[in-house]
Amino acid sequence: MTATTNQHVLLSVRQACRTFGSYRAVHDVTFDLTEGEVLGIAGPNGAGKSTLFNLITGVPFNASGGRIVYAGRHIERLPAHKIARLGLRRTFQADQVFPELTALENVRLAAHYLNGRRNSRSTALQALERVGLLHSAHLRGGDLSVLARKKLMIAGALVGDPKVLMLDEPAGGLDNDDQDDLATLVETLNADGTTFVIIEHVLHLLRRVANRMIVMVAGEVLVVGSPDDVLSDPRVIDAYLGESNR
Amino acid sequence: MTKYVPSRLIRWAGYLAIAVVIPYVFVAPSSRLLVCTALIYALLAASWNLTLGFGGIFNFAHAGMFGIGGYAMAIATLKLQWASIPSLAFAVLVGAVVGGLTYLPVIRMRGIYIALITFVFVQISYHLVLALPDLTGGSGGLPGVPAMTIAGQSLAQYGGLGYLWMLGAAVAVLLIVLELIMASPFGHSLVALRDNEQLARSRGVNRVRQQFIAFVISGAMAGFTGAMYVAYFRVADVSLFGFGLVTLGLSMIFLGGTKQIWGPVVGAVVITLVNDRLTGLDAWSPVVFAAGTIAVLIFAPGGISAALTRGVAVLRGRLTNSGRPSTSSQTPQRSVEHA
Ligand SMILES: Nc1ncnc2c1ncn2[C@@H]1O[C@H](COP(=O)(O)OP(=O)(O)O)[C@@H](O)[C@H]1O
Ligand SMILES: [Mg+2]
Repeated sequence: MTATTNQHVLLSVRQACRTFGSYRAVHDVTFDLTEGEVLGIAGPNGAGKSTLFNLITGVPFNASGGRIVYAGRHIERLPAHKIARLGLRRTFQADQVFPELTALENVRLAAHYLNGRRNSRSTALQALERVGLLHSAHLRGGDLSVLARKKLMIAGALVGDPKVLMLDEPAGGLDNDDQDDLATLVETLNADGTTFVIIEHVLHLLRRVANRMIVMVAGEVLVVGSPDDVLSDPRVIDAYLGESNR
Repeated sequence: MTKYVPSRLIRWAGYLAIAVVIPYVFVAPSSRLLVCTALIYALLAASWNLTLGFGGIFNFAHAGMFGIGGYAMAIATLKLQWASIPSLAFAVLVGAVVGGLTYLPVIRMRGIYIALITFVFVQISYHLVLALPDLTGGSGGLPGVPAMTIAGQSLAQYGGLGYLWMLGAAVAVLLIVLELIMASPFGHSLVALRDNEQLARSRGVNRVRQQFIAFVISGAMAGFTGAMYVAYFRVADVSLFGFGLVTLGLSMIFLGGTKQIWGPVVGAVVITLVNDRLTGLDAWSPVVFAAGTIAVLIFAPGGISAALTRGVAVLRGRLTNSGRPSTSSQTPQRSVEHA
């Protein structure tokens, strides 16, 4: 942490909590996201990783406690569409797109409502080009391959150059080549200045793209550190790798 | 995109051409009555599909706004003595306002709860009509609504020629407007909210705002349709809020199919014609009718329009396969040769 304190903190999460009834899905999670980094989040199923994404981005719910500051602004009470318009964007688990809209319409919708109606078409085409889907612009979302749908979901989040992209298991359900393809995309976008938070079960992918890693267990942060340190930490091996060693 | 513009313009011109020609095809008074009825139902079903089919919102209030538009027309012409066009505009405005208001109680709701609340809204309207006889004429309704006149010409003269043109043009314009809406980011946002609300919201879509606008537009369209209904049949009565109209409208939409903008229009025409043939069956007609609708839903899910679209696609595929083989059909053939 000391190494990053003099760098620009984009997103600051303090004691974030989310309860469902009496069940604490996310409890007292605190971390900072520094501009330009790729932060990996790992942890067993049900650890609360997606819930953490949900409460940060306000969709489908806000945090039930704690503070979240993005680009100098408290966002813990903001509705999802406003958070997204500020440039804090996310994707969802699996490959979620609007199946009846074409790829271009999928992204143009995002461009229109995130970035303003002006030039929404060219903004959308630009985002499609950045993820390498320009040739599929007129195919229906539902007709695309899994990899293309995942890229389309990223393109929708990418319109108008957001500061932060939060990807929820981007490599899930992909074969090795496609995982590689996706990691390259993350590296390219990161080199262009996009900051990332990535939830991922495919740990070698995190090892490749992440500068820093958080491991969550039972709604709490277990370890924070460099991917190599974290992945060799005995507590992590115990809690996580023991269950599904890759 | 540029590739689609001409075919789209040709189609729109086709809609308008059909609207112009209809009165010359249907000359007998009885067939004109039938066509006008079908066109009014086409307006009702096609506009209802905006929230119901494209928005995926179980919005029964559309039938209520139809009735309210009808009463607004009757009250404006009979009680306020307004001319036809201002009265029609008034009905559209009232429909839009009431449409917006009916969205308010269902803002936080989803699915079946919206169906319940909006259906209750129709019921309340029904009972309000009976409870306010000074305004609405109570159970007797408001008969004697004057025939619509435009530029001093009654639409009822020459065997209702004006009504045929007006209604045909209204259906054509409605289809064009709906097509423009559904090709716009606003239309896409409704589909997006229907298919994946969380994803849509995280792409900047404000659900409440978009759906509110959809209810206002749907209310305006329903208000217009109700006003035309009353101006044509020259009476507003409580059956405008009846259960029969709700079921009729819904069967038209689902029989015609919700995926195509013109689907409900096909449904409306088919059901109006079938309904007319079935009148001899008296009490049995609704039963035959319901059974038929259920059969279509089972054997042709997606309705007539989906079946037609599929059929056309298959035919096109056959044509391209036999005529000039497409690249996609060549590839497997070539691999067979190599094998
Ligand atoms: N909307 C919800 N209502 C109730 N429980 C939920 C809800 N969302 C998540 N949970 C619970 O919170 C826990 C964490 O879920 P999640 O964040 O999806 O885990 P992960 O993404 O780490 O696999 C799980 O036990 C899950 O059942
Ligand atoms: Mg998850």
